[in-house]
Amino acid sequence: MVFSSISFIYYFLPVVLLLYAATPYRYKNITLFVSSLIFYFAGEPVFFLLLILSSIIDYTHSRTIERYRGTPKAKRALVRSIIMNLGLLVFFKYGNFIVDNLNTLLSINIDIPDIPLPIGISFFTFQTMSYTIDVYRGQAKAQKSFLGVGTFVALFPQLIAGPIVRYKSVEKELTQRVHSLDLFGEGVSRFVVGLGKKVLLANTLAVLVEKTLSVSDPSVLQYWLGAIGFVFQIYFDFSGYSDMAIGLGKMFGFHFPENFNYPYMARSITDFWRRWHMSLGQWFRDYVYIPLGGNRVTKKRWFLNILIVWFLTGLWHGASWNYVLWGVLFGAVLIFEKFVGLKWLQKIPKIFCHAYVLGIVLVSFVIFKYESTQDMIEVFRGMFGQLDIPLVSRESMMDLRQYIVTFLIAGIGTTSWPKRWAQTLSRSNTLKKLYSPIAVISLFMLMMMTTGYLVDGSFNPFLYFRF
Amino acid sequence: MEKIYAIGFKLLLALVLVIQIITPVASISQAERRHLQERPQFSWDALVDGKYMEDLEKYALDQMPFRDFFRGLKTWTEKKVFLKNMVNDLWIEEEFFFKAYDVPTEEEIQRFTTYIEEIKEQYFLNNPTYVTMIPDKSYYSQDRYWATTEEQTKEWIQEQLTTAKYIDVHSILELSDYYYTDTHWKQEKLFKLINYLETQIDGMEPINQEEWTPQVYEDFIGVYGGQWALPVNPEILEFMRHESFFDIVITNYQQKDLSGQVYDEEKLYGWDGYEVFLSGGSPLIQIENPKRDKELVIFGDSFSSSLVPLLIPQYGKITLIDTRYLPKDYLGEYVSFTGEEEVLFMYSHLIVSNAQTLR
Repeated sequence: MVFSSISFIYYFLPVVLLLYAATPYRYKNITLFVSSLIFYFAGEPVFFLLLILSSIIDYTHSRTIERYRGTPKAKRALVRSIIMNLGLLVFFKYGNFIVDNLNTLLSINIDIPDIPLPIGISFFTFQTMSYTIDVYRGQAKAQKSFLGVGTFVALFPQLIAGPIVRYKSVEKELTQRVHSLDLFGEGVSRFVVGLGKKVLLANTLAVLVEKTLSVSDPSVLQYWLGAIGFVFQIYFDFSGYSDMAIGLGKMFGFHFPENFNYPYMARSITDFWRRWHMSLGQWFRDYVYIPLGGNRVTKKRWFLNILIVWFLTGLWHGASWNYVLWGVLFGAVLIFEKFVGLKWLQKIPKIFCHAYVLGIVLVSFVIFKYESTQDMIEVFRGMFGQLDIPLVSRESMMDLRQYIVTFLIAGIGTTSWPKRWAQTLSRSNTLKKLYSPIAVISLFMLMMMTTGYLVDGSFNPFLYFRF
Repeated sequence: MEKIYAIGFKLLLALVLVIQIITPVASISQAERRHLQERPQFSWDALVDGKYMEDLEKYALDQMPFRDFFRGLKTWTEKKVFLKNMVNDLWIEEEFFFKAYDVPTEEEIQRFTTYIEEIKEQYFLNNPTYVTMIPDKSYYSQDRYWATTEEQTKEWIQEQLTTAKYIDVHSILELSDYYYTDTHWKQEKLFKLINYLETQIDGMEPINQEEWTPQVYEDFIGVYGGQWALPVNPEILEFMRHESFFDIVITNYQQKDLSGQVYDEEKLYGWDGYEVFLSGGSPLIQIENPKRDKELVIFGDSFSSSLVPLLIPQYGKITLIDTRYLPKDYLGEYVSFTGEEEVLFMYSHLIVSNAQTLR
């Protein structure tokens, strides 16, 4: 089940909210845990057992760590738990990838059946690992009840597409959280805005993106429309999903970490990664980069640390070399920025900084989008006029006409301008009376329009099935 | 303000849920011309293999309260917010709806002409055989792109056909010969077409519109009207009656008792009013007129269903075959051909471009 579906919004969610409201305070986690399992079961009827297994692994090992704190037994429990978590992740996510590459590399023929990828495995594995590691480091206390761990791992608002919620950030709220109409209302507005981003913008642009390689009369313009469309699509899809997760969290009294902060307004790639998928960046910083020594090592080792982190970041996104290339590209750009790039960027006009960031982001997302090297090369060649095709074609002009307003709205939507306009309106002496009615009506309209798109069965891809 | 959001959201969810519970399950969508997903049957097998949840999702979509309102709202948003000139591949020019399609390649057209040549070789080796492509409505739109691409399709057909004569009817028809809200042509506008075909097909005779009596249905909304999802004005559908209809026998293989009608008026109130002509899609229909003796075999689609009634007075036997439903290799099991028939392949541009639908 995904948030951007009629079955979730108008069937699952109201029933869960009703049951949650009717459940006495001390038992609310039971309702959340069971609802979350049903949510996951609806999409993964078999692999929901994996989710439970993962929770059991981390529950038992963190209890052992707590009990034998400071002894080798605690360390062994931590190592065992990490091996088991990563083992599951590697088996289910990278099993086929590893075997395929071994076959190619060693010219052998190991034949294994296709291993299906459980939805959200990368997210919940990272979350469960963060729990055990935080307990080991003494940054969090091990939960005495399995329900606490189970609820944290399975919590449906953030289960399948993040943000990657670290245990210590919700530890208190798992046992004691405040519910209020105001917080619920904040959650509603965040959820509806996220839903609008996903359904009205990301899904609409996905139609344009998906036709890039199948148009009957390809042109340079068509390839650019596809590439720019994907830059917008992935942002609105991912940030929309994060907004929905954060909003749902608030409806149930949780405060999940922010995941996006207008990344396309960044002035350097370093800045971009402080704004894009922030919860993943923080996870890798705290659990990989810093344990490797971070920047408090020799220069060579520091380079290596950065490249390792970005190799893993790429691989986390999918079991394919294009994701690795994508990650390593960012690693290389970040190394460049750390040594010379950032100094240069501070000296040039802002507009060139933005152009530099958007250029790299555009190229990187073409790499990210196409798992097939052949397709990726075709798109790059098409974009840069290396195919024997015209600059524009009738179809690309029609698409430009069809999507130009969507691009404009999307472009504005990636900036902080709408937020600033809303703040200006709410503070204006003359217009502030209008702010509330405009905001309420806009939100209602947004909800209705997204429902219309969902009811009509519009294209509704789920991009995170590889994560 | 957050309180208003919270209360409003809860009310909306509760309202939809309650309406959903108390509203009877709908079985068809008139506007979309399809059966709606009904509540899926639960089974453990279906649950484990994901089919149950998949059907449940379709059920939720199909049974959403105010479904048609929401579909209309989507069209409105596309037009008024995103300022798209096409919605669901449809666009409007002077009240006429048009639908964009994937332009066929030469190979796709080759599939069509090869298919025709195969039927001719199998059943009609020595029969006079004619082929015509019914223009898509977009051929007459202001956007000349569609006319240009269809001209190309026409050229390919003419180049590829070797054993049948191609009849070009594109210049005979015009936009007003089509419905505003539908893909089809109007039957009452086909007299000029038949009088042109008569000059190309040896056995065909001219017809006189004055001998025909129109019957009118005023609430016709075509397939594009339904897909558009916003309210559209109904239009007039006419069907022409002739005195010879009293003497004929129609065998319709779509019906259990094989009985057929020229005009099935009940269909006017179903999801596709155009099915009034010969009761809509059928693999095989034979119309026998004892007062005449010539025979005509037509391979066609829904466009042919509205043309064929106009030919009834002049043929002893008309056989209308739709090979989307009756594979060509099984034809001989249902029909015996005498070798004396004239054969007309008359397909719409849509079918010509998607010949894989012909079996």
